[in-house]
Amino acid sequence: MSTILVVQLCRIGDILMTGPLLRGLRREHPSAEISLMVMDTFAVTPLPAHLYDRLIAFPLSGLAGSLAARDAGWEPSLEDLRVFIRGCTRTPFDLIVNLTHTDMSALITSMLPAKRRVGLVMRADRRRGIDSPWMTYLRAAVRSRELGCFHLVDLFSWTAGVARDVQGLEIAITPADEAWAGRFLQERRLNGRPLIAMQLGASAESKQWPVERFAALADALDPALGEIVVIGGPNERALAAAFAAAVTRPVVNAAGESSLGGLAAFFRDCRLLITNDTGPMHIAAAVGTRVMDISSGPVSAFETGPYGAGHVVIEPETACYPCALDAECHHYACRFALAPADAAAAARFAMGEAPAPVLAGARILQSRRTRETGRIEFAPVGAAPTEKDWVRMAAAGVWEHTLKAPTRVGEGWVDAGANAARHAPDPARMALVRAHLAKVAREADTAAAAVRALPSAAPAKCQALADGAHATLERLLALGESERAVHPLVTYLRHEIESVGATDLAGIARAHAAAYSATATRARRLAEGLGATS
Amino acid sequence: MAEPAPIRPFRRPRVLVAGPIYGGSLETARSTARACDALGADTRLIDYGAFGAGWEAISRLSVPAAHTTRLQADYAKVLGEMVIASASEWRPDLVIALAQAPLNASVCERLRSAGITVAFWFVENFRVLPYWKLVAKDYDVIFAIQDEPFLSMLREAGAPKAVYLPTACDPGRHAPVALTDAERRRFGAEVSFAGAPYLNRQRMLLGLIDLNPRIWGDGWTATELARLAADGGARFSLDEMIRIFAATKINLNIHSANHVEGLDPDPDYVNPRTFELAACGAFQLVDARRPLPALFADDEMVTFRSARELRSLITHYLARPDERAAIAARARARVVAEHRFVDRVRRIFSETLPAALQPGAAAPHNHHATSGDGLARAIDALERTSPKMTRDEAMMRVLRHVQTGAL
Repeated sequence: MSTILVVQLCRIGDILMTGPLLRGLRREHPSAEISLMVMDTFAVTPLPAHLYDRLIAFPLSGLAGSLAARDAGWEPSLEDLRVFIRGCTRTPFDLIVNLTHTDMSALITSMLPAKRRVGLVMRADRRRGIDSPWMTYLRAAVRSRELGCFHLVDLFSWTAGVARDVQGLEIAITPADEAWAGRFLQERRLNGRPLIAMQLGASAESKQWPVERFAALADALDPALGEIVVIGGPNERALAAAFAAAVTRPVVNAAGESSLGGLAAFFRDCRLLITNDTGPMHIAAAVGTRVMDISSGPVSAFETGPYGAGHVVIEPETACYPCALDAECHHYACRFALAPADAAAAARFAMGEAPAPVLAGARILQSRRTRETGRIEFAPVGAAPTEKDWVRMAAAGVWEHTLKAPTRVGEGWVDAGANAARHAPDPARMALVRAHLAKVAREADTAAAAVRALPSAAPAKCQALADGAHATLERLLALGESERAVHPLVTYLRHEIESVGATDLAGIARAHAAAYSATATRARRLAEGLGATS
Repeated sequence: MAEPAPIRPFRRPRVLVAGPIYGGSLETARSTARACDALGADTRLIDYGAFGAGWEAISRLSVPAAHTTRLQADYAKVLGEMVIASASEWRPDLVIALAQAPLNASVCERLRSAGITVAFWFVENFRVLPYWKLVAKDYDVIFAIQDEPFLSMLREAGAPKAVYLPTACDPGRHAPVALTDAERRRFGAEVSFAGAPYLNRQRMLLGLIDLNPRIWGDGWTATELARLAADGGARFSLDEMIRIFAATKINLNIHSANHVEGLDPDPDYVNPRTFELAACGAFQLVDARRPLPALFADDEMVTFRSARELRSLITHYLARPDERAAIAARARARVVAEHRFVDRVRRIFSETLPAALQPGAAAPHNHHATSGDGLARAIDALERTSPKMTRDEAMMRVLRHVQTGAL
């Protein structure tokens, strides 16, 4: 393979999470030229330059500007886009990996010449298609996020068929960044002192623990544990000011002072970053600084938490957490689930100063690596696993096996032990879940047999067979709405069926039958997995 | 130079249709949703049809009536939350609730506070179901099948806006059908009536018993007309209904009225059956209704004002198949041109949605809108002319995403 393009049209955190995939592509295709496409806003990427050969900046700002010049109409912008597309490559890419789940990225991926594309694409008949089992999984899983099993970093790698290595995220740190961090520590007289960084803001209010609680947390931490340094971007200065007004102990305010690289260099001197799910969280994880992530709203650590072993996540025990995709919240109850005193106890645990506390209204998760594939998982600490945890653990194994996740590679792995406390889930509830999964398996088997018979069936019977399979899909989707453990399986099935590219009856029937059969297999394996936990 | 007007957004309106748990307006909800879709709206229907069995099951519980009422209220409350669940995830521009949809004041309030317009199409006789007084204030707009004085009464009850909107036909489902010989034998009749056994209908049909009308629908076997009940008094499906209409020479359409021996004394609405029969190309005799002259011309609809007149009209038209066919054809032409659900939904949209989201709103209204809307129109044109997406269309779609911020 000689040319590979990775399309990542999201924000800084997502770009950082793409690093391990790029490293894996470099390892497994050492002679390939690797290109990375990002939005022009993020053209100064935080990724180290050794991860890619060529950076392609999609000219979002330029196109938006020319389109906004209303008198000119849209035709000149079309010409600008033509020039950009032509400039991307003269010969077809051997592989394009689209990691972005938007129609725009699908269109760009589909119009660039390529021998093979994985991820979301837009077919010529204007339908979306997903040419990757792991991206299909992701698209299905976002609709039942409370059961999401896999971190985006792992999903990104597996989408391109790349195995996980022991290294986590990477970030570029220049000599200028190092110099800034050194100057900052010296000027603020922080050299040699233990430091605890706090990131107060987040990209949305729903993801943000209230600033007055951050202040109360700072006050509840023994000053001997570390100096508090508030970091953040220029647009978070007001938050930092509110924090400074509420806190009673001395703190250092560095909001808006550093570049991303400078922040990374500074984090290396911190013993802990306390943060919401943000870009700085991924930066700290990239330099190996322990993170305590306070999750709320639409973010789930299982998808986007701090990547690497040993990080601590606090997630609220609010029934509707995490928010469903596109949900509009009217109460923000999960933002107020964690009390500052509990957060302080969790921070002491994260720094290795105290055992894991039991929290009220929230729980602690800790990240660890798994043995087979080396992916990151988050396990509850100091509290029994919930039913969702059991389903998540069993489902992860099923998906890894049936979608063929690559075995981990390289040296240096430290395997986590099993959970210290083994608590069996409620047997009656598990029996019900297994019964639903058995129903899915039976129905999917029946539908598989029906569509398999389609090509050789008499024309008069074809419609009935197709209608029967369609009715099965509707029933399974309805079951998924009432039994959440079933939801990812049947949603995956739906996306797989919707993505079928074949246009002849035999090809369509083969693809549908395979999808139904695989669903039956997954449902049986998941039922077995849950049986083993009881 | 003055600040140019912003580019008007172009997108399909999102419309959520909430139907009732049971009853005749279930089909009305389905037809309404299809009409929204036909007008280009991104449409979702919350079809509560499957939940009717639960409602029935509660009513059969061996508990005091007060408990049954409370349990059904709680059940309706849960079903109402489904609207919130769907709306909070999908964020529609408009929710259209049909009569008896399980939306309570809290659901409406939460939808409206989220910026969603909530409309109610009360496709019922306000004299029979008086609960409209309690809910009038909860909706942004109420559409009613009865004109004044009902519209004023709605406003007095707190409705911010009340609009007259008769029911309609769904030509995709209500259409002439060719019958097989077997169907002719099963459904054929000189005179038929299809509907529920309201007291006034029983009285009218008893007066015609010597004409041997066939009576379709459930509930008739418990009346004095049991021997005329077709199909053992079973319910009829939509497919069966259009075949009954097609196989009958004269379809009787008698508007329902409770506790009344004769015709409805307040004939101020037109029932859906009038439009359905007409759309099926079937000949009907309908009791005279005040709004009919505004909806049909005199030579499109034959009406009666008494049992005596009905008998005389039956005799007259049974002997004149050509007249029947001509009247039915004119009535059908009228309804498929003016009285379809898409016509009604277009009116609902015009009363509830902003101009930019109206069907066909892609045309630019000012010079500054040319760039944005021109792009949308050009994409539409390419989509219409080619089954396959061209490279230029793909690029134009990318530009459209950049323009609308849907990245």
